[in-house]
Amino acid sequence: MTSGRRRLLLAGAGAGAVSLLRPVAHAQTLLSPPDELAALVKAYTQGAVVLPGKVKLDISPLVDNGNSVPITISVASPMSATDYVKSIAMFNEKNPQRDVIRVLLGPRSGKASVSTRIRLANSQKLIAVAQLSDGTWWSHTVDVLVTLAACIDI
Amino acid sequence: MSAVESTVSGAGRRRFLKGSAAAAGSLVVSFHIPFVRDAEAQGVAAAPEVNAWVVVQPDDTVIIRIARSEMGQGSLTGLAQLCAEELECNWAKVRTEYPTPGQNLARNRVWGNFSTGGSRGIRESNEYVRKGGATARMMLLQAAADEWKVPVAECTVADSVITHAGSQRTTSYGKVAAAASKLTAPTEVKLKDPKDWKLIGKRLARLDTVDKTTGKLVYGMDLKMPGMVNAAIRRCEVFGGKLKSYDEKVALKRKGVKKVLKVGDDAVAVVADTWWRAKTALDAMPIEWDLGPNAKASTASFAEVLKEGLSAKEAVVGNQSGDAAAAIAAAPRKVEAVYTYPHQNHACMEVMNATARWTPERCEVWTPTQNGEAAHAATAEAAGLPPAQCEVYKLHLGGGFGRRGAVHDWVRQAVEIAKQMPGTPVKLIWSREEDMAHGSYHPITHCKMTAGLDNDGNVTAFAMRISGQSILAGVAPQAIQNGKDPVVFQGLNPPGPESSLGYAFPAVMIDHAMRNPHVPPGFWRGVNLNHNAIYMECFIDEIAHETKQDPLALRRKLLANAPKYLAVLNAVADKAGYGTPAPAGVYRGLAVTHGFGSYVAACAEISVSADGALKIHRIVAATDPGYAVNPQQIEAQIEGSFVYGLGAALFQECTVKDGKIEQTNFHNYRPLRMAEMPVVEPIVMPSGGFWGGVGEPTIAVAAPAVLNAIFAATGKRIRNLPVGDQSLKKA
Amino acid sequence: MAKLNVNGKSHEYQADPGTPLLWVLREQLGMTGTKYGCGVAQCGACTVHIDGVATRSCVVPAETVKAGSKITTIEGLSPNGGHPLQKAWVALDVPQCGFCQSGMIMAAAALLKSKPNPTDADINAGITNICRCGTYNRVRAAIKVAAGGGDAKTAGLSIQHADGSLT
Repeated sequence: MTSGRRRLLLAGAGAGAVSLLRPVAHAQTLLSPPDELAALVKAYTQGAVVLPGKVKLDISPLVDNGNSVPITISVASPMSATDYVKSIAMFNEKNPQRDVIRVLLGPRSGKASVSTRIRLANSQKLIAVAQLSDGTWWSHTVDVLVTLAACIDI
Repeated sequence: MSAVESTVSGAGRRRFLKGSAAAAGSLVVSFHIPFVRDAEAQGVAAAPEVNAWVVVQPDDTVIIRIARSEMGQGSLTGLAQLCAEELECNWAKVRTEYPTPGQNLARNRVWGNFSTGGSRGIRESNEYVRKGGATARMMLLQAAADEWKVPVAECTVADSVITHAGSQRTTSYGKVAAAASKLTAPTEVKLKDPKDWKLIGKRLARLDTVDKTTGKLVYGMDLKMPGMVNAAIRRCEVFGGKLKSYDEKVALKRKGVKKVLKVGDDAVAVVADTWWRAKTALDAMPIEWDLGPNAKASTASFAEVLKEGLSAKEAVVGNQSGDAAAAIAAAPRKVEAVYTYPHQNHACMEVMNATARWTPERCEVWTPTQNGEAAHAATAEAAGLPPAQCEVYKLHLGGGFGRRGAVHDWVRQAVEIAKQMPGTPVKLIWSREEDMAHGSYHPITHCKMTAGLDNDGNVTAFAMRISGQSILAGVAPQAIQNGKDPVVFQGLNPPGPESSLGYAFPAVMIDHAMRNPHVPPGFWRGVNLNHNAIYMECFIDEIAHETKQDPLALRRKLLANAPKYLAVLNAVADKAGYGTPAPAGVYRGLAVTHGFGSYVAACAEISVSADGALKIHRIVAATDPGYAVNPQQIEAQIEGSFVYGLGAALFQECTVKDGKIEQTNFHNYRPLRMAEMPVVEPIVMPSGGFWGGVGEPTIAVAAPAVLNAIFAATGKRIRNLPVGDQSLKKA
Repeated sequence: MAKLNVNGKSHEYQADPGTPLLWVLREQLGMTGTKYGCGVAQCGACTVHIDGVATRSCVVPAETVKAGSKITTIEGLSPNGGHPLQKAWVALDVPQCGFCQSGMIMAAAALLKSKPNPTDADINAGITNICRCGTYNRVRAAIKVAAGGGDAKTAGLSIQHADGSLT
């Protein structure tokens, strides 16, 4: 899977938004999926504490095919010079590439919201992680059931 | 429509009553949703569930929740047996119920996977279904023990009656169910040893037979609801084509026609008061299509592409050991053959249909489906509403065979129509012609096999190139990893529990050159095992005849280290009297394979008349599914799968001309009928220790056994399926 | 309004000219036991009796059925599922998905009327209904059970029923 396949649409993107799509180095591929997800997040936040809340990962909990699933990640933030969202990222549990989105934001982004479509081959957990300008990290985890995967036993 | 007086019941009744105030005349119709209880609507206090799997009513009626879909294969009864075994309830008072996918989602998937396909229904869920029954039993016993203030270990139960021998007290499940429902479920649950099974393994009658003999069972197209309208639909018959224009005035001026609606970008529907009026209006309506890029495609054009794939350099490996190419190149003798298998349609007796009702707040669908959760997902996506605001009510299927499991196109269509008529229940029924034109087709493949032989006639290497369509590429491309569709290699894989090649060849190369025609593929009963078993089992036969070995002896040699394959093969050979003289004019053919976790074999006895007429006298078939929950139903599945597979191998194919399927109804897509049905002698031989599937595996051995028998009778090797008009007169 | 005699009762109905009997039964009269399988008289799911003769109702325009003709549908074959064929069907667990079985039973009932002791050849010729689930062998066995007086044990299937009986 190449990252070029995914189109990234930034809702409310201004000049200050930079998108990065690159694979995360897998040092811990031997861990079971939930641990691997936690390890990915830990690597991304460089060990910082991540609390659930503030960021919303909007994806249907039930998906038919998984070939092209719309998602929106948003954080309620004034996006002012002193109070804004620095970055939004999303990781998955079972896709060949665990790293789905990484977006850097700033006050000029206007709105802290990212919309795109992703491919999900399997039912799995997705976790959205956001860092605020005060340095704190927040997350939202969603379990997505992909019914076609259950159907063809992959 | 004349008024039909009856009661309204079932989930969703309240919504219909709101709608019916506006309904014309005094129309009151009956509406019975099988299995779904809505206690409030029936004015009955709902019995509480002991756990998610078991509800016990005060009169000891036990309602077992079934997550999978019954489509004739008997899983409804089998799953109930599994639960009831551990529950220790009175089997005579067992009924079943389908929880809805909406309930499953809301309750964190407490019933697990709803998907019914891949012959997985029982083997995948047997453990947790049994645990569900065991857990409920423990809670019911505990409730009785609590009431009697005795240790629960002193209480016993049989047939829903709980006994405390010491104090000579008895009670029944119905009396303690309410108390049991308040208890916390135990976490440690032990299951019975199979040797102690009383229901599992028994030839029990099905739970769902009676209503099928009286016309009482309600299928999707039988639903009636207040204010319901009927829809007929036509989608562009050239796959990938689009709707260009239609003259709706022609349809709208006809009596009873209410609307003509665009559905997606490739279909148009007519909605009327009756389906007959909708269908005939649609038939009369001029429609123009933009046929799209595939308008010139044909089976002949596919054949060229598939043929090229047989010798293409690039292919994906499914099974490799040693260096087959080198061994074949060095072999003093070779056997080589090319086989082909066409597209097939599921052709369920019940055509695709769904009833949908959409409002901006809620969308409900009533439909037969092999996967309630997938139907729910498709409904939500088509409705543009969150799943929590949608629901699917599962109806009994008039056949599934894989058509109603993965791609819920008919459900999406029904919702799209209903969305354009908010608040109105719309019943969409496909005509048979529409069903034939818009299948989810068995993929088309060509196959070239080569065996290298040494001077003694032993196989030194086996190479198999499959050139053809990938189901996953069409249905779930995200499941293709590194260009490989693993499902292509069913029956041909290296040793494993699911679907492996039993034969031990010194060197093997089995690979796949993916070539995808524009025809949408799907999971047809048996999936890729169908053609793979024909290819493999007919070719083994060719090797045997080329090297002057008996086909049974050769197989036994090559399966020497595959005891489970040998066991089923020997069972059919013994029962059929293989090796002893057959009646005059009768010839035998064999096949053995491994699929969907089970080991299966068949020996067919046929004769061919002087002018080439085939008669299949009998087929002896064996299956080892590990455990057999209901042997009489397994026998029914063996027989049934033979009808499906043999009809296809003998008579059926879906060919393409001008981009669309040529076969339009049963007159040009000919199924097997009573007169062509052989005697079947099934051997159910569970060897224990694993759980294999039942609905599909045996389909794979009927056709190759018959084809091998045809060769034995005539010297004619049929390599291109279906047999069809190919002459069977002696070669 | 036109009239049809169905299962012993006279019914009035209104339908467009050319509407097949199948669809009048299902839609105007609300009797959905008779099924639509193909619409071209190939599959037999729509089989009813008209004056005792097995007829594929999907190709019979309702208006061609004389007012005096007696139509029997699966709903009218017996008051409570007690026809010997229905009992044999239950004893031998004949149906799988069941969709073809209304037509199958009606075809079998007509066969037994004209041939009370049908041979295999009679059954082959008389039952041409399509069953995609492949229940033909049990259909054949059940016809023979019904023809032979109803002793289902003769089919040798050893099915255990919830009431304790074994057939």
